[in-house]
Amino acid sequence: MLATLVRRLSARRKFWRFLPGLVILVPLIIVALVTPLLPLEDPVLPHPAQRNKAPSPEHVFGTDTYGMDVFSRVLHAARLDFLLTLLCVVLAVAIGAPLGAAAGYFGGWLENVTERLVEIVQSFPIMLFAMMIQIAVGRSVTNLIIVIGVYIAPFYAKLVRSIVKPLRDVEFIQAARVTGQSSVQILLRHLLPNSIPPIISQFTLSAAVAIRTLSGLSFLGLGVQTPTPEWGSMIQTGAGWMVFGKWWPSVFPGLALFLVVWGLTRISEEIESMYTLREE
Amino acid sequence: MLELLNVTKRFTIRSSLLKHQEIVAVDRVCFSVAEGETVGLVGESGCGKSTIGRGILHLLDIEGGSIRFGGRLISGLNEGGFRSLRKDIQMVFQNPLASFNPLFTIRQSLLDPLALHPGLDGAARERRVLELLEMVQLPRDFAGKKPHELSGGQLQRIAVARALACEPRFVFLDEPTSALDMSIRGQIVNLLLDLQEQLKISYLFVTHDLRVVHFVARRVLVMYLGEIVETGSRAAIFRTPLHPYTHGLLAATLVGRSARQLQRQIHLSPLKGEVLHAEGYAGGCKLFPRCAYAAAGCREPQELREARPGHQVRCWRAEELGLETTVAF
Amino acid sequence: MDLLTISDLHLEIRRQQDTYRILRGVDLAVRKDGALGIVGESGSGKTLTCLSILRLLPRGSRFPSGRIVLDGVDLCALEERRLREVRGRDVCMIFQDARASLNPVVTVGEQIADIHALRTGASRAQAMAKAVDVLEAMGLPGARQRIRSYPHELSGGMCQRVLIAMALVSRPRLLIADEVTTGLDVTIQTQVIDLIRSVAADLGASLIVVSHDIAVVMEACSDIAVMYCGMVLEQGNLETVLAEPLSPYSRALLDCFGLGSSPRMSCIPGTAPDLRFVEAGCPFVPRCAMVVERCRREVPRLRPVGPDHSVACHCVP
Repeated sequence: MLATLVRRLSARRKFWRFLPGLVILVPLIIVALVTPLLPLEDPVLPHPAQRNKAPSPEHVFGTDTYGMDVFSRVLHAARLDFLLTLLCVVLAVAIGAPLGAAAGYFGGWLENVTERLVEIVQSFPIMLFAMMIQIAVGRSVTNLIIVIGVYIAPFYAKLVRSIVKPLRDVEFIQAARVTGQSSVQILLRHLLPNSIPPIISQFTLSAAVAIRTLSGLSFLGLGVQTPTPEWGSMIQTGAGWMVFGKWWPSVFPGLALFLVVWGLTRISEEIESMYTLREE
Repeated sequence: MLELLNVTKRFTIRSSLLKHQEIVAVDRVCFSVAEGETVGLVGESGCGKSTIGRGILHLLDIEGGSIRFGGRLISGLNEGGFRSLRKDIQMVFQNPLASFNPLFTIRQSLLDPLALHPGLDGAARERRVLELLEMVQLPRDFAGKKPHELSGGQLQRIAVARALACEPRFVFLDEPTSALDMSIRGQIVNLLLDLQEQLKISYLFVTHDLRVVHFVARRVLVMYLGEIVETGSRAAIFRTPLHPYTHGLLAATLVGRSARQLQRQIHLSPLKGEVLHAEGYAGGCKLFPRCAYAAAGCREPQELREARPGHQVRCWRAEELGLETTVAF
Repeated sequence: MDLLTISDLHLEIRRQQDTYRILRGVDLAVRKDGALGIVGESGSGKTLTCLSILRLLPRGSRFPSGRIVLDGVDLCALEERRLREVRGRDVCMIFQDARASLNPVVTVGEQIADIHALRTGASRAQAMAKAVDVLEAMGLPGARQRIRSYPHELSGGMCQRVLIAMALVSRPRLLIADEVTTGLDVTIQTQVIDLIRSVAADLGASLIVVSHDIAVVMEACSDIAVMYCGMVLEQGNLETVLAEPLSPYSRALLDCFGLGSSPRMSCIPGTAPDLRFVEAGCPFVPRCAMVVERCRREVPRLRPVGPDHSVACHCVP
């Protein structure tokens, strides 16, 4: 499935449609991977003497209110943000997809319960949800991932259910039952693999949502805590200084965040249109 | 070998936004299939033939009556209990392309049923896959192909191979030729006949095409709206159909020995209008609204009775009407 | 006198790097007041030939080459705007899936009335009255109530009748029925075909009936064309062709409909060729019982062998 996708992508002229999104993302990802090897300032060591210095040749993005180099922090934050985003989306799929598949296949009370759960999670404002969890179970990165993962999971549950439900009565599924395969086998071997293309095409979109949410929570102080570099929290710490004309502590992380979200959204749109065209 | 007694199945559908209607898809159906025999089940849409098949294959639960296989009651079993029978009872579907997982290769699709067969290890299963391809006269390299690479006729052969993988004793064929081109139908039918001779399997062959029934079945059941309206040997049904519905089906079938003699004697059909599902059904003959021979007595419930030895019909006027086909079969 | 003549029609469709040669030189003629049946199997190109007449082609189609002359006008040369007039006014096509051809959110009465009003400028009331008349003429009981029904409330056969009614009020000169009986119960098929035939007769329109089922064509048509792999292999008067099919393919195909005299069902061995690959010579070669050297080299063209009978085959004198 992935192999076909990659093969189809690279062999075709259509590859260039992905260029805008990839041009943004790929360098950022590479940079994020390579960051520990670069000669950067320590991102978490405060230098009181160098506080709030404007961008200059030695501090390309300037320094923030703790005297930490913004450029270094933006790059280190990239690592954290990408990693956390990936974990959130993977968790969301891991929770949502099997639940949606089971709901679509078995129907009955399982489907009803799943629908109710989905409604509950989706009607909860994420901020409130995050706050409650953090107050109850404590602040940690793990909890953050769980919160965001659970927040996105309903989307996949609904998606997979809408794919599996009509497939339940398709002949090859009946044929699988006739050849004695159990429901679990049918779900795992037949139904989930057929759901993968739409899941993949939604992947990048969810990543965009995840990173926005992550940064949003951090901005509100509910996510990653300072001094750990994370774009959202960096924007937050720098926000107060905008009034005083110190724009750089907020704007650069904000720019980075914007580029990543935009790149992800662009790619997911292209993947989506690729699959809808294929339906011919 | 396979015996159905008073099998009944109802469905509830929404006929409009607020009204729910109960449809009796299968109404106290009784018949049996002997070992090595082919029984043809004929009927149009809504007659319940597919529902019967799904009941036999344990894809849905029946509500009344019983189904026995080899003397053993199978209709009340749960999935676990039925599992051991799956290698003996198999099915071929109408739409070849839809009956295969588009992501699986043919080899993978053929390996699936082999999991039911005890005592076959990995290497033996691979050998069996190639054997099966040979059995349905397809080249070995088809094993690596995907369903969309093959034609309808080729896929249907593979469907037959899949059904026969574990050497079943009974196969239910749900309109296996209806989705295929005219010139290919014979390939599948002849293949099924050959395999039946070799392997001594019983077939319940569902179709609406009487020409195919002519080649395949020795006994024929005709169904209409969930009820069996006539049963008999092939010769009896084709030459002296007793029920007006059977007569109508025959009249609507294109017959003739050769191209030159092709004709359809539709003017002989006693049927008018459409198949009406359960509208205003008051308990008498279900064909009543459409039958040219309808009379007052048709409003009474009709029973399936033996009009001649081995030839049953559900029509009180059958002998009186004395219907006959004039085209030689 | 021919109403419609198709000469040497070629059509290619590009789909994801593959080019399918769907039509490979189709020659057809439909008489004025005549009824032509086009018989062929899946992939023979019979539906796309008809869609080409109206230029209702799927994505990726290369504009067809060849000529399609309707009453003196070459449709292939017409620009889109003029062609649109032809579509509604002169040529009308009915498809297999009747319910899908109807607007699901508009009552059937309105759909018929709309067309009538468009064609004749009649008022709303007049158009609805006409709709009732026409539905009654279609043999639909309770027409006055039926005009308020939505397509999903009607059966397949009834929807087909609604489409025929819509064709009737369009008053076309050419009516094309594409596999209209496929999927309908066999006891309904004849009713639908009879209806189409009588509508065509009433309108004085020519009729093309496309079907894979020869029974349908036998009941509605006076002429027949047999297609295979994008080509017409035999054409002529229906009775003549059925009495003596000369092309090996026609013969083999017609045999499949008959019961024959052996316990085995007639069929044609092998599979229809992949339309992406063009082999030299006649497309039926791999499955034909009468192949000679010339068949492999040269594509046979349709040539007359009798007063109303043409065949494309090298083995026919």
